[in-house]
Amino acid sequence: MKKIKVALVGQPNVGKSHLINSISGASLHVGNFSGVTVEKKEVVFERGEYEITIVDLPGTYSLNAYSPDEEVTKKFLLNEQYDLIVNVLDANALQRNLVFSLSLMDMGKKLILAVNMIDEVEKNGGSIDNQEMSRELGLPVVLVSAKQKRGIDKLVQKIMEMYEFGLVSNKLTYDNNIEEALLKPIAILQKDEELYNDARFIVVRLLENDKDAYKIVHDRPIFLEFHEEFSRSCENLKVLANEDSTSEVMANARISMAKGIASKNSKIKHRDSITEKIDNVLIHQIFGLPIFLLLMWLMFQMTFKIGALPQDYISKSFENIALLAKDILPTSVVSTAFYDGAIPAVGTILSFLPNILILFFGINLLEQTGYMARVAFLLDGIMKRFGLHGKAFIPLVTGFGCSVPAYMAARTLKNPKDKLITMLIIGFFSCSARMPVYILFIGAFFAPESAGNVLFAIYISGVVLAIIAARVLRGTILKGNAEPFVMEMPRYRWPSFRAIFRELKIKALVFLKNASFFIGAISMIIWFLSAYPKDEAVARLYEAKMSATTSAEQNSTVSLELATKQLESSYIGMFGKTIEPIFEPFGFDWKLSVSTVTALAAKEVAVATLSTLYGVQSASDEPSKTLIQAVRAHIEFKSAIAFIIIIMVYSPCLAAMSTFFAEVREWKWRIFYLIYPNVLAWILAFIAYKVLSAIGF
Amino acid sequence: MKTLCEIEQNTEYIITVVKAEEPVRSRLVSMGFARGGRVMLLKKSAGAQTYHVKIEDSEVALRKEEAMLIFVKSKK
Repeated sequence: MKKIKVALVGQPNVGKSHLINSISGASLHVGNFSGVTVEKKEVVFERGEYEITIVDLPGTYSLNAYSPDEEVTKKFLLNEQYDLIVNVLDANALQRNLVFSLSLMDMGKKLILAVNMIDEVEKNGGSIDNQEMSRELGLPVVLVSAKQKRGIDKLVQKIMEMYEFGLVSNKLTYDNNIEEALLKPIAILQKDEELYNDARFIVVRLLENDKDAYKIVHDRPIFLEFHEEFSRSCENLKVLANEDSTSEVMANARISMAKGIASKNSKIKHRDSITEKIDNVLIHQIFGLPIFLLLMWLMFQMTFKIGALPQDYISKSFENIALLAKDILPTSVVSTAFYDGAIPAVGTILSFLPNILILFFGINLLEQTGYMARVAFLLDGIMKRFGLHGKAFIPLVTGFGCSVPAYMAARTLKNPKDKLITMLIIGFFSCSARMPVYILFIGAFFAPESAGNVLFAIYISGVVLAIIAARVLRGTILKGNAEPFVMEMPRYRWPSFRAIFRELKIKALVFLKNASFFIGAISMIIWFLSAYPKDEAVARLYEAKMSATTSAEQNSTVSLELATKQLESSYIGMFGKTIEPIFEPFGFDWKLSVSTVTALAAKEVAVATLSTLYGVQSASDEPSKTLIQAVRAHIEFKSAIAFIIIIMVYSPCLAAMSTFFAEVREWKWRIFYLIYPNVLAWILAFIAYKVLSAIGF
Repeated sequence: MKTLCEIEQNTEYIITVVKAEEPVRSRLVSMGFARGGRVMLLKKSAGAQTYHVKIEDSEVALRKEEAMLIFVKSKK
């Protein structure tokens, strides 16, 4: 089998990942804004006698890598081995995309242009003559639509043809001034055998002040000779073209070539009237922000209201499964841990799956329609005032789903300080795993009518806290100005519900797997720790007490007392008692204290732990008692609020923390990241508790 | 000479000069902000901090600080 390696490159948001999904049936994450793909991903598939590997590279506007994700693409293109490049272009912005294609042509590699979203251009009555373009550029130009799966086979065909028979295109000739300037420096570089093939590309890159190209020539023996000639050529070129810098000359040359090719071979209507109409409302100077807040409010209302519908059903089913398991399984320590520990905990967690899926649906919709970029535009002024980059909005909103991809999305930020500030506040954007905790506590302490509002308030106060934290960080330990903000505004696109549902399915499966294995295992461990060691002396004492009781009522009181005593003397009870002093100022009992700690493994574990610890107590009391009722019975309102605040603010889960460590190399920031959210959480919880006590709760 | 911040909305202008420093300059150029580029101001955000403009065949949002570095002349 012949192997072909294809590098897929293009400007951001031209649909590279979508195209790969259409070609290979993979399911890479796609969205309608720039910077969805921040690291390279490989997809392998077979066609006839070929095994084709496509490397999906982060979008980049040019070969002058600007942000860390663009750096990934440039490094790959210049240093890695691959057979050919497929350059994806957005048909709607052909001219701008062609400028990048022209700089790729300088590389002297096999190159195919795939003009994507041709369906949108044609729908608006436009057209592109790819045959003529192909003749003019001297390389294959294929019209494709990843959405309609149009031109996909043709593209794959061209990839195979290009691999077998294709020649490197070198039809790109600049104007006389530039060609003149290139001539002598190239001739000198070609004396060096190692640089012979890349000589033209290197000189072109040097004209564009590329530091990496400079490094290549700097260490060669011919450098002195080359440098002298190159400087002379540069000066001549600047004078002839009447420009301050050679990079300006090159940029203008490419822009006018791209303009020529695009205007000759395409008819494209540029302003999309539907986008214009929607924008008149959604990014209205006055109403834009209130509309955004309203949409977010609606999303959280839906999350709570619709998510609540199947909740009882799921919990009940798991109660039945637990009862069934109790009947079937032989009595042993492990099986007891299974039906008393694992099943109820897993059931509780799974009952929140609908809420989480609705939240993800909302975020996905935001991404796919192109509204995300609009929100970044609306919020940029506020973000700037608080020392944040406008584009930071994208990783931050991703944080509502999960902090792990959010930390990775921060790579689209160029400036290390911008990136660090963003990463340090992502945790305050409550992730979906915290939703079960919120919903449990809101359900226990607030009326159903106000539940959606409370949930919305929790998320909004997280956001407010995040921007205040950003301001403080910017004003103290991460001083400096926020980076410039230049962001493409994509046209609105009708979301692909099939793609959204595919992503929701993946999300649901991951959640199910995680809940059943990880949460299940942790719950069993917690159950063991809460059941052992059995204090024989206490057991004997209570056995005597029990036989002395006369009424059933007395009996149940005593047995509850026994369960409580035994739980307190268990391993987890001892641990809880040890850490209780830390949480005592907010009136937490040791069980709530333990949950706070176990939730560091994953935020849902807080609910699983509470379910096990309060379940132990209620098992001998009233088995039908729901977790909500147990929480309401054992926890004071002001402590519950303090608990919600702690879950909102303190360190995220282990997976998120290790992602942060992978992205941030400096130990001082890692240590800071481990300490400050926890200190802040403690202080805020303490204040909330004291204020609530003072006003009589 | 006017900057992008001072022009009338929904009217096409021609870029005369971009006074940004590297690396912002090349970023702006790769987006199409170069001499001769046709540009139109579409919208301003609340407080006029961020500008939504059409540049050649694409639409871009940029901050006031960057918009102030882009000088234009009217099309006539």
